[in-house]
Amino acid sequence: MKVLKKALLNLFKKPITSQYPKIPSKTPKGFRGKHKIYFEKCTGCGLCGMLCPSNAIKLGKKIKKIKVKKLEHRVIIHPILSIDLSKCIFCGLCQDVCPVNAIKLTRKFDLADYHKTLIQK
Amino acid sequence: MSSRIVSWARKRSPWLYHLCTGTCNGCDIELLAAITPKFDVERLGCQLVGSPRHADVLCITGAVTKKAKERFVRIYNQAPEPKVVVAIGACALSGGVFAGSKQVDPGADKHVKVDVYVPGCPPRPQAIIDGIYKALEKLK
Repeated sequence: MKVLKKALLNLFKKPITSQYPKIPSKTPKGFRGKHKIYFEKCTGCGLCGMLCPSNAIKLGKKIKKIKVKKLEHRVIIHPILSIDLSKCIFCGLCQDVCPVNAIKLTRKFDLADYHKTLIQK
Repeated sequence: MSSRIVSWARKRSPWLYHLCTGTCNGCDIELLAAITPKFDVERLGCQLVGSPRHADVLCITGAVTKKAKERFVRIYNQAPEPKVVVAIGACALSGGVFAGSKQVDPGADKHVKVDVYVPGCPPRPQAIIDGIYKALEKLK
């Protein structure tokens, strides 16, 4: 009798199937999706490229001149150039380690494409 | 006229073949979750088949290991034309964390022609459905 009651109740319920390609799906809070890079914020410390487990982050090499007490110093900096999405494993370590919050992982997940995607300026 | 009907019908009833070329089983679980009633890729008319000779869409997961490489190319050649290949996960795209190991020859597109790339480690079931949906537009 219990089973029959449950079966009858289920007749009037909505199906649990998500109608994904028609209706966009929601991602949970804290989901790690496509990166957003703020290139103008990057100071070139190179921490993200050093820490990346799958070497997806490509760093450049630049010489920056700094003046300290009339003396000119030359410092090598490594600004971020691009992130290869085909290598990235979306661990979020780059976001955690960045001291100036230049990399942020958004909640965008539908990244399927006809070619390998590269995020760059 | 008849060829147009055939291509119309093929687009609405693609058959999937799931090919694992040495994964950690993460992407496999997500692909199987995409077939379950919660996400249900069968809404698009897809069906999972057991033989590559029946398949229209090949879903590849995993970094291609040296032992799987030969079989992978053989299975690709067994699938009848027209076919589309969907590479799922970071490993199938470029090796992911296994790139550089001497046991793997990473990148599915090095061995066969890949049509749709689905990045992620592993991608969500919705992302896989999105990839298959984009692959159907190439199937003619």
